[in-house]
Amino acid sequence: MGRYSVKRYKTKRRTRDIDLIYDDLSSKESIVKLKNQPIDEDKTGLAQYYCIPCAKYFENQITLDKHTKAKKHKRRLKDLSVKPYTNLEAEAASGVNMNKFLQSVEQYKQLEQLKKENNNEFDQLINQKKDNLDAIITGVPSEEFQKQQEEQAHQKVIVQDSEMA
Amino acid sequence: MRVYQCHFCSAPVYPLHGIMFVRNDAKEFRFCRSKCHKSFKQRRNPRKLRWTKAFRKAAGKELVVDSTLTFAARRNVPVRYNRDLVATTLKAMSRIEEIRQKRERAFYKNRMRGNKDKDLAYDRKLIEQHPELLRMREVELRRKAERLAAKENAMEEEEEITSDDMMSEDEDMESESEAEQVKQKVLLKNKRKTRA
Amino acid sequence: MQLSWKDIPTVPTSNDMLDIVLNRTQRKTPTVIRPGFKISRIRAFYMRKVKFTAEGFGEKFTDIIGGFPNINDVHPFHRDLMDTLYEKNHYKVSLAAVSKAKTLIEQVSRDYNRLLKFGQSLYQCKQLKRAALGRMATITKKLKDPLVYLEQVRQHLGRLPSIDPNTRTLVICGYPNVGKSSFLRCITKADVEVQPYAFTTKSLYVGHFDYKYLRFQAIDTPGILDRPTEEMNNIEMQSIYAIAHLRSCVLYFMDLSEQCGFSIEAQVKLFHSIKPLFANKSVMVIMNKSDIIKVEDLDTNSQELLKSLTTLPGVEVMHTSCHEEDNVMQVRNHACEKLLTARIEQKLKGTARVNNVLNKIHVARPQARDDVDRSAFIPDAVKDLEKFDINDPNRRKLARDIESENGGAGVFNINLKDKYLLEDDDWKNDIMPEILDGKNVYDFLDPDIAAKLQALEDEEERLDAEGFYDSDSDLEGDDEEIQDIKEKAKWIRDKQKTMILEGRNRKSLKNKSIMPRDKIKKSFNQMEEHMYNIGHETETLREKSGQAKFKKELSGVDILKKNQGIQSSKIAKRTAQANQTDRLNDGVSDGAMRSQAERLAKIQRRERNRQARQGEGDRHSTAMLPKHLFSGKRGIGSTDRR
Repeated sequence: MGRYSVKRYKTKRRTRDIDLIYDDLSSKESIVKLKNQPIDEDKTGLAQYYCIPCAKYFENQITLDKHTKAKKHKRRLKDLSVKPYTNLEAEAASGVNMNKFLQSVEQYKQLEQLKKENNNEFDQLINQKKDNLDAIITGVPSEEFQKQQEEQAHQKVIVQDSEMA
Repeated sequence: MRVYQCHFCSAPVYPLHGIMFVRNDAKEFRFCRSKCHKSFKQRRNPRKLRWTKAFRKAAGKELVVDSTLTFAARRNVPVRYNRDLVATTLKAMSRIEEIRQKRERAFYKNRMRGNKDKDLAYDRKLIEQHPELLRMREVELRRKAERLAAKENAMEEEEEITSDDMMSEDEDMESESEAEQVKQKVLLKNKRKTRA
Repeated sequence: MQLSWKDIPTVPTSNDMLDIVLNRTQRKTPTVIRPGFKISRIRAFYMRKVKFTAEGFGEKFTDIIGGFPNINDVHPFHRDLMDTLYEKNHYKVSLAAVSKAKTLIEQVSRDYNRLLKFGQSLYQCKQLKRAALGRMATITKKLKDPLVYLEQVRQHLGRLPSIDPNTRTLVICGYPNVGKSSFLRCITKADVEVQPYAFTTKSLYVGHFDYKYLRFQAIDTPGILDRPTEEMNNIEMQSIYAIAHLRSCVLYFMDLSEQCGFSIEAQVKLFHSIKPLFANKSVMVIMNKSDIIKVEDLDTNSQELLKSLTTLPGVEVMHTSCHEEDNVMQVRNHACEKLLTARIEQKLKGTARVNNVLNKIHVARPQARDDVDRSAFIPDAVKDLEKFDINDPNRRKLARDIESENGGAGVFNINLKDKYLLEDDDWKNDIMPEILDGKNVYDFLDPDIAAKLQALEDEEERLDAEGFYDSDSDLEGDDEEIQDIKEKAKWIRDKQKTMILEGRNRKSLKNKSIMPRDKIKKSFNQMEEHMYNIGHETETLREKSGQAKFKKELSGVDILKKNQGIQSSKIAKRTAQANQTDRLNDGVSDGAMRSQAERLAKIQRRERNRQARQGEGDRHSTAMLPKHLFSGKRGIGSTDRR
């Protein structure tokens, strides 16, 4: 759909805006909250597999993983890597509320700094893996998932060991 | 009443103009025209479209950090009306605008400084690289000159012919009125000549 | 609850019923059947008839049963009334008979359908149908008496006055011929028959009237004689039921003149005997015919008797004369008043309703959490305010007064700006511009704008001093060389653009075929022109062109051919492509081989020619061979039609 199609841009189909997504990603609490949503039958995959940058629900962990490797997702990450455009910027461009805009830029820089410092934690939260739906509903972790977790833990130990060495 | 800024291109949106979109988190987005609204709906980034103020500011095409730009702000603190204050404000507004424009011009000039040298260097290079085209140009110029000369020649010849005709006509014609008409003709011819 | 039964459908007699249903069956079901039809069709035909008839009866009977009221479901008053009028048991039995008939008919239909399923012939089926319909008819005929009775009941029910047992009601009762009906005539528009003999009124009559915009109904009852209820006849019982069941105000009529034929003593006695029915009701005793005799004119004995009437609490005595219409309206109004108060009292007595409302109301009283006094805050200005009094000459002046002084509403407009709190009162009516040069004035409105502006001016001065605004027009040199270079560069750029465009134009085919390069013809003039444009000298070229035509060198066979007189242009055309093989002569070494090859080719061609093939690749088949003409056994006879 390269051309302008009205259907695609109806307000009805409006997806989450990028500045809101940026807010979603800006604090650990919101990330945790979005990653661990209560089970919702109306959403895809009972709202358990959510890609925050793309504001999209997935069927299971496999499709979510596939998505994170895809071009669309990467493009979205690139979009999110700069300061989101807001009305403040539009106003500042015409010479209104310039000071407020400069403040917001300052805030943005601080936040980015904070994110950079805690890069690992943020990454872990965003890329956390989840068990299959049966396991989530029943509360009993599946064998495969346990195995994966163990592997990850093992890898971590190795990494730490190598760092120590 | 208030003049708002277009969310997309930052143009002023006067009362009764444009369109407003209210997002479900109660944020308002005002647009000066359908072009901006459509672009917004297509999720274009104003910073990447050359026709928006945001682009021009971000790309350093316009003055961004300046003291004249810090005056206007929504303060959200109501100020009780004071005639003197409003009077000074109104005066200040026009003065600030004046200074801003002045600085903008200076900024532009500064930005454009050195462009002429660059252009000239580029032109020189171009000429060096294309001697064959220059030859063609010479031919063209020569042709033009020839054509001009030929035209002028033709004019003169024509004039001679017409004058000959006149002579013969004069011989034939006797009435004065017709002679006058011929005179007018001559005048017209002369005019054309002068124009050429 | 239903109060009137005016729309019960008519109940036909049993014979009519039969006619109706059978006729309908005849009309609405198919009629043509022949013994030659499939047996299943014949069975279906008759089964349909039987079923349809049974349904017809069923519908009719359910209409009747549904139309009549269930005597146990109606209001007790109506129930008793109907009991006395129509004999409850008889009524019930009749309806039950109809209901029973309905089930019987259904049964018959079911049975005979079952039999019809196995009918073997048209005749058998027809006989079964006849039997079924016959049995249904017998059942219906047995209903003769109940149907007649029900029709009568229907007619009577339809004519019963529609008495609502729950509304405001006045019940008029008393001995026969004491003037009850004439009273009803006086107070309502009801056209009741009034005759000077006892038992003129044989049933209940209802009249309606309005009092205090409320609808009342007044019920005229037949006269009652003083005897035990068991001995009372139907007419009297009606009035007894009306008194007993209706929540009403009872007006007991008496005739002091004894013209009715009953003594005062008897009338008083009757009052006492029906007294138990007056419980929970407001009762009034009306002394009618006061134009003939008054209470004062009676002898002491009678007066004593009359006094005994008032022993019952709440009984009031009034006098009227229906003949002269004296005091009639007062009696009516008084009775209505009494009834209304009684009803309201009764309503209040019922606790259910009060509780219902109370349940919905909850008044919360917050508990004091500490000793701090949290009383309502009233500004002093409000406390000091004098109470507004319209008659006080020194009263406050309201905006409304100002408005009326200045011409009233619509003329005067309140100036809301008067209430502004500003430093200077002159400023109140100032109009402040909101927008200036596309900017919001309010965005710039700042208490310390003057200081800021001063700072800006200072900065400006400083910049000016530093030479920020000095226009250093760089390279203004408009000398000829630079001008020339610019011009040349511009020409080159334009030329490049046009060349690109031309090239593109050339490439685009515009519906022409692609020509090989060597087939495109270019005249000598074109070439010369091009050369000239590029900047070459063309003089020598022109000179050469004249000689070139005759200088083409020939070689080999062409020379021979030329000598023989064949044009060189033809020679050039016949040259074959270099890489093509000679398929006629390759692989053939000598004449013997050649002739053998030709012979073989001829043999091969023979069959092909016979079949009129164009070549070995021709696999054309002419018009389809029609299969039916070319396949199958062929014995005696022609093969063209099979």
